[in-house]
Amino acid sequence: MADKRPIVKTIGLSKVFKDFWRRDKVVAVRDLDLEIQPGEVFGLLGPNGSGKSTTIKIILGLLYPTRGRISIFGQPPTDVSIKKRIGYLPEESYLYRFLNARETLQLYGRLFQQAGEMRASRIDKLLEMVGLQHQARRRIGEYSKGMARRIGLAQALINDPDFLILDEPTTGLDPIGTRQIKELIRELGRRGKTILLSSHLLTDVQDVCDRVCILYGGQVRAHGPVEQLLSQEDFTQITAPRLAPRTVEEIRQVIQRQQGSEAVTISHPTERLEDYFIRIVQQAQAASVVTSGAQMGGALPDFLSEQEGDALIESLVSAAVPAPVLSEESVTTMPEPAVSTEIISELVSGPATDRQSFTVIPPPPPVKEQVDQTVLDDLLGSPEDQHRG
Amino acid sequence: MGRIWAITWHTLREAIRMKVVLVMALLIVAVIVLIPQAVSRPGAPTTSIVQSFISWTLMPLGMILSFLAIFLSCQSISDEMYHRQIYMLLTKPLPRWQYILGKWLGVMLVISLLMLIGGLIIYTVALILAMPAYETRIVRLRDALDTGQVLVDLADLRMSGLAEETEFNPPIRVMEPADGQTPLKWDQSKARAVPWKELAPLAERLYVRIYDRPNDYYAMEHEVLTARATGKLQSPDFLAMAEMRLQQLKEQGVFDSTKTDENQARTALITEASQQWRTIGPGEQKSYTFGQLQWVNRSPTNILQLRYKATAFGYAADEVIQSQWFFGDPRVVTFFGPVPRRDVKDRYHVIPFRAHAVAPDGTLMVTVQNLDARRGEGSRHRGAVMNFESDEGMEVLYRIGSFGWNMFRTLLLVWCRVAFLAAAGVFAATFLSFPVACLFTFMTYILAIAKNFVTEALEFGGLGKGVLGPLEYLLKPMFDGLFYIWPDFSTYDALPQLVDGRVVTTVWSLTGVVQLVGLGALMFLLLGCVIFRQRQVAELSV
Ligand SMILES: Nc1ncnc2c1ncn2[C@@H]1O[C@H](COP(=O)(O)OP(=O)(O)OP(=O)(O)O)[C@@H](O)[C@H]1O
Ligand SMILES: [Mg+2]
Repeated sequence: MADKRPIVKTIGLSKVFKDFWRRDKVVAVRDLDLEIQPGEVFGLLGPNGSGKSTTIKIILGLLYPTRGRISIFGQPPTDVSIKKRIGYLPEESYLYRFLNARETLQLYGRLFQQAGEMRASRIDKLLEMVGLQHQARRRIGEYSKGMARRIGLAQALINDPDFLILDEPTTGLDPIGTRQIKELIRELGRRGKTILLSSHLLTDVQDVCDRVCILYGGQVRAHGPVEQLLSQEDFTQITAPRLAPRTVEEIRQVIQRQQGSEAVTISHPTERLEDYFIRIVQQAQAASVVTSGAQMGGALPDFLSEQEGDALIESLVSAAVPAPVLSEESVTTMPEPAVSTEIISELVSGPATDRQSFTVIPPPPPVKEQVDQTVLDDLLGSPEDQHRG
Repeated sequence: MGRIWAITWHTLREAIRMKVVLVMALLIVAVIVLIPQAVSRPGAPTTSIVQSFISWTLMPLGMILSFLAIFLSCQSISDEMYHRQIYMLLTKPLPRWQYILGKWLGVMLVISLLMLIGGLIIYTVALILAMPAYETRIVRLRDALDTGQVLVDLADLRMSGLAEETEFNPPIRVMEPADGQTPLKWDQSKARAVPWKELAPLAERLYVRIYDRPNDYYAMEHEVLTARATGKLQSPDFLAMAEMRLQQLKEQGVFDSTKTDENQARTALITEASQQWRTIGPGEQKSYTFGQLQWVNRSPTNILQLRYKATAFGYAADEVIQSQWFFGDPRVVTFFGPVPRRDVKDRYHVIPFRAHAVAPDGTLMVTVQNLDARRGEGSRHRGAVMNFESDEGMEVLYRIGSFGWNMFRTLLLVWCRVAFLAAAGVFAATFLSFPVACLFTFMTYILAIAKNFVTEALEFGGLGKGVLGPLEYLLKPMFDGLFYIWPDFSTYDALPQLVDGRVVTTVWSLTGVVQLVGLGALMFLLLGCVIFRQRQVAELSV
């Protein structure tokens, strides 16, 4: 990584989506100047529809810019040879439902013309990394959203890319997966890879990114190294392992003694980028910057009437019971709702002994915690079971 | 190459996983099983059963594969765009032209696979259906000789008696019953070969194997399950003949150019000359020459066929024409004949003859004698006049290849047509949504099938006088240009030839490969690549 030429460089990049008659419809990216340096983790932030994914697609050559210039590894995005060094995880999983995980990775590996043995060993390692080595023989169509996402991540890494583009990598992932991605980005960053990350999880962005750029309406509203953006000269932040209340109190007293200031807050630094982000977006909105994306959400619509919490649940539950789930004949032969529920529970749970646990469903008796517990136990296995298992 | 193959293999796998291949294979099998039953007539000769089986299964096979190619080529690209899986492919080091080419190859791989399955089944079933014609019987040699039967493993006994043929015919396989009883089963290992010369005294004791239905056998083996080339009838210069006659008439003072239009007279004389040339009066004989026979193996054991259809003017008893045929120019080659014939008029008949009648320069002289002569003095019967109606009225056929390879070349032409359609579909899918692309490709198909018809329809009516008025002057060259490059599928349809046991030449199938694949499909694929390179795949696609 000796050469310090930027990996991605855009000058005055604009993307205008036109309609059928070639009239401008949406300005998705507006005069974007961007530079991503080798070895840095770059965060692309912005509200929904601010042009993050569009920018990424232009970088990848899936869209062509309307105006402006762009180069990746010093080449135009249409150059095929640079794709060898790029890994891309799109914002949703666009995988083939009829392939299993291993076949999927094989397909993409083949496109990099990897030798069979190396490909196989890489695939094994990647499957292990995303924790799907035991599900590798199942079709992707059967996968849950998060599982498919993990395969998407694995395919992005199959060519050991120098430049990794992750468009909202954590959507659909469980907390552990999210954590893993964060670790992964950090680790890859340490190894000198360049990463472009678009995400809405600002805490994580703040943790892993060297530099960020906040888009609004396709325009850059703020950009720079994270610490620099967030450092407020008027404030000082102390970061320490979790402090005992007594220590906190002492620190507070020390500060008061030394500076005579009352305005001391002690909190976790996680909120900071979020605050910053919201401030930037609000500023942009106040300055009535044009956006074709989403505005900040407003108040609840007034048709959502207010109801007592219990009553609401009750009405939903009671509405659910007579719902025509049953086939015609069972309705005619057994008109009593009480009986129907029995049928339901029989259908659902099979053995008659389990029936009582489903008596939660019929309307009159309100939901009891006691009963709830048994249902949960049935579903998850009782705590004793888990110990034994 | 590796990347193209990855896309190709992926396309094939998609078709397999989505059960396309399975369902289509079942459909093809169903067609092969059901159609012969629908078209078969009880009591039809084996040859016509086999012929209608071949044409009624190969035609639907071609259509099914065409539809499948249209559907698959449009679907496999449109679907990937619609579901955006293409993002994942084009962000890999995969040039777009390789993607297009890989897709087309993938579709063609599916087609080839199904064509192979269908072709093999049809070929096998056709041979099974033909089997009754090859059934044999064991008879005493004497009986076989007396009735002029067709011997298995040997040339045609119908052609002449035993004695004259000894020098040409290889030894024939016979069986001699040890216990004096008729052998019931032919045992090739126990059969021995005996030269023709020695056969005559043994004719009572020996047994030979003959075809149970010799006519069926002959037609099947030499007219259906074969690939025959033709020698063409060389017609004389009728114009010169007419000119000469005209001169004669003038000299005789019969023709007066002031009263009759000379051109009209010439046309009439040409017609008359050609009619005369095709006509043989009662008791007369005429010689005809065939050309283009230089590829014929002139060995006497090689049997050629003369196929003819004659009509009879005047009275022909029982609609039968009696004639006698001689093959070969006696001044140049060993001639063969006479072959006496009694053939029903207005039907095609096949006369087998030996190949050594063909002259070394590849011409063959055939002399026909009309035996339907006047029946004695004072008889009111004047004899029938024999007439070969057209150039197809007489042709020489010779075996040049096997049925299997002929069918292969026929299917190759089908493959080329389908390849053209698949390329059109791939092209359309690069810029059209699935239904529109399908429609476009389907129109391409229809236009290519009906090109003849459409061309005629468009040429109907004068230029500039139609509904579009002067605009037609603008549209006409466009249509003409389009129609010039648009292929005419009917010129690549070899099915009638195959069914008729005529050779589908390698040149013909290569023409198909060059024009439909090398030019047509390539043009579509190139256009597709050009358009696809401009295409922003992440633009809204519905
Ligand atoms: N193919 C398209 N055709 C027309 N407009 C589009 C197209 N793709 C994106 N846009 C518009 O461009 C703008 C930016 O979209 P983009 O997908 O880049 O947003 P984003 O920042 O990724 O949002 P999110 O956070 O929701 O993923 C939006 O207004 C969107 O409607
Ligand atoms: Mg996005």
